[in-house]
Amino acid sequence: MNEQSEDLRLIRQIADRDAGALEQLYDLYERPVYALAYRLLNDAMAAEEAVQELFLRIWNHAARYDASHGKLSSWMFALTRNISIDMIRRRSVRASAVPVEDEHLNTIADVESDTETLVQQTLEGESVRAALSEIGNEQRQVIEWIYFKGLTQQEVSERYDIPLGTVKSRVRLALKQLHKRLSGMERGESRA
Amino acid sequence: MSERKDMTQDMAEAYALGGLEEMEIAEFEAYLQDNIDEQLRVAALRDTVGLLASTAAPVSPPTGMKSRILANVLNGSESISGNSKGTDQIIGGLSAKQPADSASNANAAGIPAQRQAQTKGNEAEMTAAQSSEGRVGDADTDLLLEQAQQNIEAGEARRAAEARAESAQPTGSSAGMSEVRGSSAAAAASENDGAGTYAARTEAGETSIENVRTVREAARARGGRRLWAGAAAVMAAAAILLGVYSAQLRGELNNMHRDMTAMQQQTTALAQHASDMEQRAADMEKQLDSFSEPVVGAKVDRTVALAGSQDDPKAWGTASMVSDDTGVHLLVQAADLPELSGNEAYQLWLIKDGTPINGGTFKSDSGSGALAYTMKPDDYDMVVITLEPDAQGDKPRGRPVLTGVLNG
Repeated sequence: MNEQSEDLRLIRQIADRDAGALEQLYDLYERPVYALAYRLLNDAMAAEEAVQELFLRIWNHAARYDASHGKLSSWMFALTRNISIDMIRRRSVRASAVPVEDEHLNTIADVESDTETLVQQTLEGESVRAALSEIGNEQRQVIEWIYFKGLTQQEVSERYDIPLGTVKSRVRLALKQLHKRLSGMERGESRA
Repeated sequence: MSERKDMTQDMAEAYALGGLEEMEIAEFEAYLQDNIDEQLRVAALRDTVGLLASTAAPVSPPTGMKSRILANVLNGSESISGNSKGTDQIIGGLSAKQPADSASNANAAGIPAQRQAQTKGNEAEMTAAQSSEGRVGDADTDLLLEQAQQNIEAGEARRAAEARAESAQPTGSSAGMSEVRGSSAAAAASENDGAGTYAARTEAGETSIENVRTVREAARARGGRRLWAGAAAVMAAAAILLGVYSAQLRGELNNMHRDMTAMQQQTTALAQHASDMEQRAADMEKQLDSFSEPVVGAKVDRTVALAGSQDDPKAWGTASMVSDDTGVHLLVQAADLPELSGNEAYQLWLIKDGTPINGGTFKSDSGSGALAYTMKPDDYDMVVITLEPDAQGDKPRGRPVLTGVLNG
């Protein structure tokens, strides 16, 4: 019943090289991690590549997951984000050396979709979006720039011409407020 | 100091969100390392940040993605990002572990020594398992040595008994009695094989010696010629038994000798490695002072291990502070670095109060590189080696590959 203990059981089995457990974890998280990678990379093929890298790391390093560092889902999303941001950075390095490539590749979306999962995912997203809308524009903006665009505080300061100290305090305030508003959810549902 | 701590504490939110520069991440993780309360706070912040992922608009994954990914992952596909191959990051969280490991090995040969020690441990265990079917881990070495000594003593006692038995000229008339003793001793010996412990064997050895003594005393007491001859036969049988047993002991001793030789060889290799490093450090030292007088009395003040970052867990290195009459020099050596491409270069940074100071750049050759830097002032908190897009930067732009704490 408990999502977190089930996640923990799965990750332990994966650490013991249980391929079935990896597939179960994949089924549970495919959609949310793909959606995040897609949101960050805006490219279906790159997003798939990121998800593959994520599960490759999980398969090879599941033993390194430590529940005291947060929930498994948080860990997986953070990994997905890191992998995606790394890909963006590499891409921009390449892009600066090579003429811009057309990133729009044809991919056919999976027609079958699990409605229940989708609804659940959407609902949770709605709650977090609602919390985000309550924290004020400026703070929401830094979260967007940092979390979804992959900028550092320093880069936000330079690019948007905001004093670094201001950026930092917005980040702190944004996270504190979000934390307060979502603390009920953190211990409960997070998986779609 | 507490001001500094507050500054670092203020990084927790940005750290969890992923908004810190690489240098700041290294600094924050060093701070996080021994701060349990802060680790918990960061874990909670991570969970908050994790929820942000759910705001991504739902998208249907491409057809067949699951089977492609699972097939690739389970077939041992290589990591797409070469540098993160073998990575084990828990996004900062894990890195709380890595420096802890490296900190405990803060000496020149620390990391290789640890690696070799682990290998050695496995080998020792295997050898022990092969030789006695017992589980003798390297933690039991002391016990093992002690037991070996006891075995040797038992062996000596047995040889004395053998000598006596040979001179006794058995007539074979009391074979029955010797058989009884022989079989009980054999039973003891086979039990020992089953249990597979040296201690049990030693006991068996002592029991056998006691048997011999008993027989010998009994023979003396009786004094009768026939009886004496019979006792001599018993002793001969016991001696034969002990002879077999001693051969086993010798085998074990040989195995132990082999183990010790292997261990010595490894120690020698390590010492060689260390002296190679020293030699290379000395070479660099020479280069450094090639324009001045030869250095007299250079001495290594301190050597710290450099730990690979989360993306490069295999990279390792050392930073040695060498002082001579020209000043304090930092000699940095790194190995198993990710290969550079194009204009990329490694750059050394010395961190003082969170500010990175350019310590120079270097190119690696088959994953190894080295650099010397004359320190002024000679008080820095950390050394960090980053992978930079080129060798021209005066501010860190790339990611850290190696870090080491100088003041800690």
